[in-house]
Amino acid sequence: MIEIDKLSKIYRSNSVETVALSNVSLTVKEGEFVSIMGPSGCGKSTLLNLLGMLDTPSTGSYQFNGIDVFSLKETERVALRKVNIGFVFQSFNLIDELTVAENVELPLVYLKRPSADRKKRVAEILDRMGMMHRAQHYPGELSGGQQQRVSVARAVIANPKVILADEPTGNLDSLHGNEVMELLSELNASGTTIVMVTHSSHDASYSKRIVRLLDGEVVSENNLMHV
Amino acid sequence: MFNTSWRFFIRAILQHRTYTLLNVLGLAIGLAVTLLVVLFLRSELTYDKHNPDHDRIYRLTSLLYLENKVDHFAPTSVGLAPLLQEETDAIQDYVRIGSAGENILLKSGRQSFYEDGIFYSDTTYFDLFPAEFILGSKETAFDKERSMVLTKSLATTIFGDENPIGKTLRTNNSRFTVSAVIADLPENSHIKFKALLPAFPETFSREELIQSLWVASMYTYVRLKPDRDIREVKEAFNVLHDKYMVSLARAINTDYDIKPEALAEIHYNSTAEYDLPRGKDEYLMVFSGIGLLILALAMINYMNLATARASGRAKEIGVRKVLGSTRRDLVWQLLIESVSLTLIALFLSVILVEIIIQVPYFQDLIQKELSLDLLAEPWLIYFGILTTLIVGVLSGLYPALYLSKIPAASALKGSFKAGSKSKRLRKFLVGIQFTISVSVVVLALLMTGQMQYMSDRYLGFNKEDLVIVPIQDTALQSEIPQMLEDLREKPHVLAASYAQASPGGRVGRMVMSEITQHDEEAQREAVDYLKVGDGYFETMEIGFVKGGTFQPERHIDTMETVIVNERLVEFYGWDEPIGQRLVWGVSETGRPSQMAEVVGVIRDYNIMSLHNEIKPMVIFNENDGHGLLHIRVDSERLKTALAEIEAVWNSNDVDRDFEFSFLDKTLAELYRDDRRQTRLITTFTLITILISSLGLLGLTSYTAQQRYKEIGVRKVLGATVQQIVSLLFRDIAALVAIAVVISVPLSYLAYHNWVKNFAFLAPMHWYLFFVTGIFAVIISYAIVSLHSLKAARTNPVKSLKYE
Repeated sequence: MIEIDKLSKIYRSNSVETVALSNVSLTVKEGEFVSIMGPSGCGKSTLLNLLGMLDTPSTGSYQFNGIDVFSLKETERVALRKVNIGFVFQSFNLIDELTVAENVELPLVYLKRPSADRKKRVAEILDRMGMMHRAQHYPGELSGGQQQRVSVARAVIANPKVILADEPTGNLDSLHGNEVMELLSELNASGTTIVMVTHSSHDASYSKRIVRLLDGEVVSENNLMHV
Repeated sequence: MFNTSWRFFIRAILQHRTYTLLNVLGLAIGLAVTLLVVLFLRSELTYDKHNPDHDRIYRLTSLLYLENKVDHFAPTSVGLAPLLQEETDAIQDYVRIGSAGENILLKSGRQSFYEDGIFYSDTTYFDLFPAEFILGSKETAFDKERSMVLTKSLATTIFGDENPIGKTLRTNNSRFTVSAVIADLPENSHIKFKALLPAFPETFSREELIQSLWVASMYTYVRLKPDRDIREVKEAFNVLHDKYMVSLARAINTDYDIKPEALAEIHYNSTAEYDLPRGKDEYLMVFSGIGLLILALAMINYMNLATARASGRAKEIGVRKVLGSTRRDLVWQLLIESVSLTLIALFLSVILVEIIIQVPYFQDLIQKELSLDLLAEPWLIYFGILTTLIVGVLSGLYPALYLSKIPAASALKGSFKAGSKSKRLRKFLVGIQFTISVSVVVLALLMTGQMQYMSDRYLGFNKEDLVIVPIQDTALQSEIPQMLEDLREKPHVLAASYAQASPGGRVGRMVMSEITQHDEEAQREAVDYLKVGDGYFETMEIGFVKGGTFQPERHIDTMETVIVNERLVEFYGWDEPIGQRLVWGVSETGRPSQMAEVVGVIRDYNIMSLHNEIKPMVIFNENDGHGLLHIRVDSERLKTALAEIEAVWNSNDVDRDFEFSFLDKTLAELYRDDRRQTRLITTFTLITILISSLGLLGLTSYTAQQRYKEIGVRKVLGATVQQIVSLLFRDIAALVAIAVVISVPLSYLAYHNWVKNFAFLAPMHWYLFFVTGIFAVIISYAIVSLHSLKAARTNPVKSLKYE
């Protein structure tokens, strides 16, 4: 599903070069749940942004379902992303001026789905996430855990093949954090591929494989056996 | 503490360069316009106040009662002032002034100059109106019978750097010796001449003075003795009227009265016709209104931008509060900031004004040369400081109160966002700007439409390719028939005729009446009349509705044939106009002395400007007189035609150069004032659009910044750049729509008020409102795009990290 080969990202500013990623290669198969771990500044988020097609690398290639992502035009890449990838952020990134239902609906709006379909689908998802009673509330009125659930609902509403999660429990207490991880596990069980960046080995234990990064390079990959 | 505030202020200015620039630029334009308005008002409202005796100098004007109408005109008779002095001792002295006409030929050696502004007056002129003598003196100014006083600028035009005293200037029929040179008259003096000649009306006999009382020909100014009242002059006139005027007044069913006007009031408050150029109070209102509106727009910009910046400054405010700053300290700090910015804007505006007042386009626009000399007029400095304080405080107060209210805790946590209340206010303010902008744009378009309509409108005759040649010399008048005959023989002259006045000029007015079916004279009424030569209607291409041209063979002393226009036929309600008779004048028996028979009816045509309705008019036949040649030429060979006309002119032995004008150009001149007002509004429109655009630009830049994260999220979720720009634009589109709706009645009212001066109106094009609205949407979309495009193109990765 995801195949990256020798991906590097170098930031240049005022004659200082910072290597964020160096020759990273990684393959993620359909239905996998991969955690990317490593200390701050090791390039986790950079890698995730590249996987999410939000950024372009300095060198290297990226095949998504056999499509060479970086040879696409900006608009084609947006189209590919819209359909296939959902995002969950550490800081939720909900739009404060929109209600829960409107926030969740957004990806479908940009996919130009008819309004009736959208409403139906939003109701389904919110129901599944147990957030139906909060549909008309604004993000500011929700707890952190609830906000992240809305954020997950938004990520999955368009039935993406892959969900990219950037420290999804980073802003949550352990109780709410576990709820979110359970949610992701369920999604993975029903066939969604998940790539998650995390600091927490507890969270990482939900996944099937851990990739460790240090100073922009992959240092180890191990498969976890679930009992 | 103050020290750090200043350092902070200067750094903030430099750091937020765009913000500062937009703000200061907007304010500078607003202040510059205000300054210009103040200079304009100062000049207009102090007319003639520089005259030390202005409170006891009065101009006497004429009131002529005719039927039920009163005509008020500025000139009075030669005899009025000397005869009044016989009746009252309240008058210390007087001066009578007249214009020698337009395009007066002045010859110095072999050089010829055609000049306006040549006046003649009593030798007492400089007693009443002191002037600064550069060469010569008040005593020697009129010591010779044919002396002439020049203003500095005319003296320089004619003689350059030479000393003009004692030099000779010739006019058509006399020679004058330059006796003195005075400084140019103050810009705000309602009398403006370039040269003054002495007139000697004292050569009139007393009998002639009495007879002159009905003939208004000169402007009369009287100076009262100190502590005397102008009412004494009015009473003296009543005595004079009963002595010399009342009997004739009764005989012709007319009456005459005088109306004194205080010198300083003339420029603005006089309503007299046939006057020197005067101020228009509507102009004053328009100009002041424009100034205030533009200043208001600039202040709205400031408030808008400053409040929009609130969330950007929230952290600063929070830190200051935590460190012990009270709300009052903060309000002070913020007010000082706005006043300081206004001060910078003031400096810029002074520079702007200095430049603008030198621009000929602007001088022509307001018909004035303004001066800004801060050293000579320190009150301008006080005014500037006062304005800075008022504008700075007014525009800074709301932002200061708003910003200082931000709670410290939320500001520090970074969770502060500009509330919906301040958003609503900003929208409201931008809405006002839009409304004003759209209103003035529509107004400018409507006015331009009316101007276009007037220049395109068919006037009832063919105004193209008509050359007008004035005949002023009495000697030449008898040659007119011969000249016309010669002209008609020229190959490129298509037709030629003569008339006493050309379209756009002044027609005569006389009291006449129709003879009813019972051979009785009906009520006399005033109607317009014009005297024209043979072939006039063919030359002008004016069509006949009935009958034909004059029948000179039937003319005798007391009876002639006339042609009338359709409006006159309507006026008298004639079913069959041909053969109707008109009478006027009074013979010794008390019966009418003159009679005319109508032999033709022409189509109505606009002999006067389109400000006036077409009035009932009688046209007499006259083939020579003090009038103008009307010559239709071959437009293909204009130069040749003009050369042919000049040749005919020169074949007469006249000491006057060939002068001509094209009728269509002269007609266009009639609307000069209207065109100037249109241009004023158009200029205003441009400034308004500029300021509003600056405001909108600033506003969107902050909206975009505020919605930075939202834009990022939407992009990650798949929004295109286009969708994001539209998102930011949606709010503004609604404002534009509301502004268009509100501006419809506003601009219609303003236009209606302006256009009521015209008798002929362009059809109202309602789609203009619609088009302007669309245009406003497009412009604002462009401005919004400028910023939001940047925001929309930013890599969302950045904005999502930005917390």
